[in-house]
Amino acid sequence: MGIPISQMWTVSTYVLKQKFIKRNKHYPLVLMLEPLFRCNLSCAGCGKIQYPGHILKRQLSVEECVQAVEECGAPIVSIPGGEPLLHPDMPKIVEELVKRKKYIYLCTNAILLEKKIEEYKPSKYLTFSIHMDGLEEEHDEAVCRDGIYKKAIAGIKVALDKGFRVTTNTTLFLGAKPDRTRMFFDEMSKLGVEGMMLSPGYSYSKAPDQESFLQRKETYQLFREIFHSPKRDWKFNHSPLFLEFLAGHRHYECTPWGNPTYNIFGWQKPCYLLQKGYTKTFKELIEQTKWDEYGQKSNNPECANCMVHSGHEATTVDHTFGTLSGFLGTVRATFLGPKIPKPESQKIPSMSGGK
Amino acid sequence: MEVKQGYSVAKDNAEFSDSLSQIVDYRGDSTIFLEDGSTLEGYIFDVVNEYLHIYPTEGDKQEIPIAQVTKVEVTGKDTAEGKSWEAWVAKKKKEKEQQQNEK
Repeated sequence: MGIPISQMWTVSTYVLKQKFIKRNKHYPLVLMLEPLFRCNLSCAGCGKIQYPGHILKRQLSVEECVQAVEECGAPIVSIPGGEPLLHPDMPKIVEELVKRKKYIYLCTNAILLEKKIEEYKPSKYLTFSIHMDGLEEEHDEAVCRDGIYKKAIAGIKVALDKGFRVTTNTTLFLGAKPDRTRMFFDEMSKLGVEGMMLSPGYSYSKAPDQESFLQRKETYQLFREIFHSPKRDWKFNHSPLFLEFLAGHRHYECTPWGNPTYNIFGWQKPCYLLQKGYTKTFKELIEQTKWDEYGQKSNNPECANCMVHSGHEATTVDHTFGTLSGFLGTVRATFLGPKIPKPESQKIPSMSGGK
Repeated sequence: MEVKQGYSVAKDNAEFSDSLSQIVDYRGDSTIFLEDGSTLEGYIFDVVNEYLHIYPTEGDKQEIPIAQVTKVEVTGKDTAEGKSWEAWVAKKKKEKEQQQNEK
């Protein structure tokens, strides 16, 4: 695994406290802090940047970001966007969060990383999470602009040279080529990134259930082909149980409250991807959202195919630290590698959760 | 009903409530017409407890009581139109086919 021990310790003690001392079922694990929506790329299908110009010009202040972080209390803060490096006060926001000992994942396309890196100080609390959707051809196609892969690679090298923690963040859509993805893992591993993050792209169609089922099955197939015979130097910034979930060895339900989202509109209901209204406070988000209307079990068609990490990784962490079977499964997968069904396997995991 | 630029709905319309939900999902600006004859243009991002939540084109976000609204009109361009992932994939496929045909 590509996660430092100090971070694992912070997360594990936090989860144990939430579950067994505070008895808090709906606890946040990662705050998705979106300080702005504007971006220097215009990737097709990115719903985060499709707003009128006056909305794209707006941004959260340093104070608003700090208040959201404190209100939420999650030990990890992911800062996506838009492009966070476009925020003029981003170095100050990062500094304030580091002071509060939050583990920050600053998600960037790295176009501005070489130019702005001097504004940041290396810290165990700060990770640059670089958006990389594959090798050069795939990445430049995904971001709809040539030359961005090379810029991102240059940014990764500079950040690593300067002693920063660096991970990559990859979204894979159905149709992704497993062999090319494996080559991409090799390239990132050679560069020396701390870990790689993966997520299947979110797809929602008003298709009948049978079609939805096939889409989930195709996602399992894709990840079985990608992960079969994994190489030892591939490091993923995930719980190994999440990798088993992607490959369909086990099923997890979504815990959307695990990754709450805050942006200029407020606290977004119910998750990072769906926008079903906003609340003014985190407490209202947790108390007013009808959580049982979301996740695969709810039969909500918008959730039927969703396997993204922002909804499911928190479930795997909860399983790890909340149950003996989850803990032993994580220990086993950490030392022996995650259990990945063979590409030719027809296995569909039990939907009862966790196994 | 299809909510797109130019669509408008008056409060006495039976579909007013449903239309507001769709306008919230629309990725463009709308104009709110108020009982006092004034208008407010901006991005409507939520409807909560009989209030429209809007970011006007200038200034801070506001909450407008629906009781004071007479009509809402979609006046801004849909910023999401034609920008889906599927549209992009179809466009690239077409480009590749054209390149192959030219060879």
